[in-house]
Amino acid sequence: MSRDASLPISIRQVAKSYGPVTALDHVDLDIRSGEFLTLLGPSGSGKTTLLMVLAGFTRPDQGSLRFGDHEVIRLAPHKRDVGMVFQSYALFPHMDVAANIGFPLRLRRVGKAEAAARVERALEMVRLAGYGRRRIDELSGGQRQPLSALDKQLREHMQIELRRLHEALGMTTVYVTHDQREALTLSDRVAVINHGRIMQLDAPRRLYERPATRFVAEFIGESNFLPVEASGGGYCLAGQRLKLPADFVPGGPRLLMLRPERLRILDGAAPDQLNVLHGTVQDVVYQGDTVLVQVLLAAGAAVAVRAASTSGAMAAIPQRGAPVRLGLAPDDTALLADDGFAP
Amino acid sequence: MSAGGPANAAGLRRDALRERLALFSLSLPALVLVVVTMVIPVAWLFWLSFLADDGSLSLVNYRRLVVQPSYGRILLTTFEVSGLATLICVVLGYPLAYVLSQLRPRVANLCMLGVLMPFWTSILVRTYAWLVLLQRNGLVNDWGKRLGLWEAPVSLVYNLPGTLVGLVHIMLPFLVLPLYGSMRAIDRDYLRAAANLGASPAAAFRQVFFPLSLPGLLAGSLIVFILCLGAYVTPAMLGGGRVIMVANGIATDIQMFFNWGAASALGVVLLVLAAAMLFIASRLTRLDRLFGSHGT
Repeated sequence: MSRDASLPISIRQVAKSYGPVTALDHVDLDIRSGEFLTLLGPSGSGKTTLLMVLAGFTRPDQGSLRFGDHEVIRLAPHKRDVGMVFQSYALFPHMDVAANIGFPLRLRRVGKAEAAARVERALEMVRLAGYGRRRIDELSGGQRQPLSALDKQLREHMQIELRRLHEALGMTTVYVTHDQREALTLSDRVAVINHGRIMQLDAPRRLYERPATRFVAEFIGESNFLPVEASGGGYCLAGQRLKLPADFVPGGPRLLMLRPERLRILDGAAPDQLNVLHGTVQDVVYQGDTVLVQVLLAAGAAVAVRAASTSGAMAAIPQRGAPVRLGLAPDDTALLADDGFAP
Repeated sequence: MSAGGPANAAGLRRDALRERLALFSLSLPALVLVVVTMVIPVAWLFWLSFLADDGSLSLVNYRRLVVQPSYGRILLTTFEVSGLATLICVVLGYPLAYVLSQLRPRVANLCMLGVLMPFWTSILVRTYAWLVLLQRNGLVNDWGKRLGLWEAPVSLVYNLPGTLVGLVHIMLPFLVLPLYGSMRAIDRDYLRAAANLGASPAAAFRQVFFPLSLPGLLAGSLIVFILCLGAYVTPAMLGGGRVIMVANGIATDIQMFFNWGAASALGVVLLVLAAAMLFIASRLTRLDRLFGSHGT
């Protein structure tokens, strides 16, 4: 079977239980051709199980899985032609780097000279040219690739590198992580998974700015939540009518999500178009690149505000105990459904 | 400030030395035991092997080993029996260890008890049991006749096959234990990765699992082989005088001829050969690593 690495993947009603535990709850998911899609969720959410189903290492109880037009749900792992990067590296310790890379070529009986050339090209692509003869235990963590074991700087460098590789190769890619920043950095779209269900599937920006539920908002980024009252087709916070994004569709009880970096400390007159919240400064914490300001709102709830640490912005932060006004642009005023999730 | 040297350097050095001495003193009882029960007797045997009957220094005991063909035969038999027993252990033990390593840990531990059970009975008892099973009117011959496999009783004991049966039975756990350990240590992700890259189960076994289990296999084989070299009870009881290994030769030299010199020389030769085997094996494993680094 000749395979195209940019085939779309279609997952339909895939379910898997381990005794009383539901790992996958009738998952439907379409991964577009050449897309980089990340499965993001807490541990035990089912994201790894879904990946194992894709690779063929976990046999689901039911469902359909298609690579392009081929139904593959019952196909053995070695016949699926999907490439999987293991969290444990899974680089064969008894082979050198070139032999590891050439392993699938040897299995497919690719000629020696061509295999060697392709291995060399692959090494160049990941900027490891000349490393072919190295033993696996002579490689550094970064050279072995998976991101979770790396320190922050190297990790971010590798994420950029992965993006570059994906753009160059155009492969349909499914990535599993519990690191939200990694998910936002790498992905075309992110599927947030919990209890074996996909809670939301969206592009990174939409996911961050318009989370559908409290769970998604909690899982991605920092946020504070305030209950708001519905009134006359709109919503009110502490008696003040909220200015909302143009595309907002009202309905049902909602929570106001406040991202610390989207709140602005107002200095002087408030521009008309902003929502304004009144409160008192409780604490100011200098964190290098930003300043974290804890504010107790007049409405009673405490919220965090992240301000820039430039000298101008610092000068605008009131003293501890002083009153403060916070501005929030309508586009950043996200009202979301309360799914009862509390961390 | 006192004169000479950086602050506290001498004191810190003394502390380090005292710590090392304290650690060393923990191993002292074991060290004394080994010296008294191993090093001194072996050194004494070594010394004896160079003494002639009249007490003068000579190589007469070693010359006898070379000149008398019976000694050559004993050494040959010893290596032949040890090699065969090791081979049979590998053939029986590798699949066993593989199956055990694929079971869930709790089930595997239970099965491991079965493998280790023979350790709880003395070698003598087990060897007698085989004698009873394998003799002319024994259970095996009885069943063989009833099942129509053979008509007249077959000699299963007092010969090489009988000795091998007994040896393999005793030695199998020594192979299975290290092999099982090394197989358990193989990360399942390696096999998954192999399958993911297109390897059929057979190819994944051949190209990934088997090479990774080799160090354990080599360690187990080596233990079995070297333990076999020193076998005494099994060939003495199940060999019926037809299978004379080095340990049996030594016993005969001492019990029948009271020739401590000859026995010592034989012992020294066995020791040297076993040490040489260990050395070669350690070389082989290093070569193996070298080959491994260049791929297949």
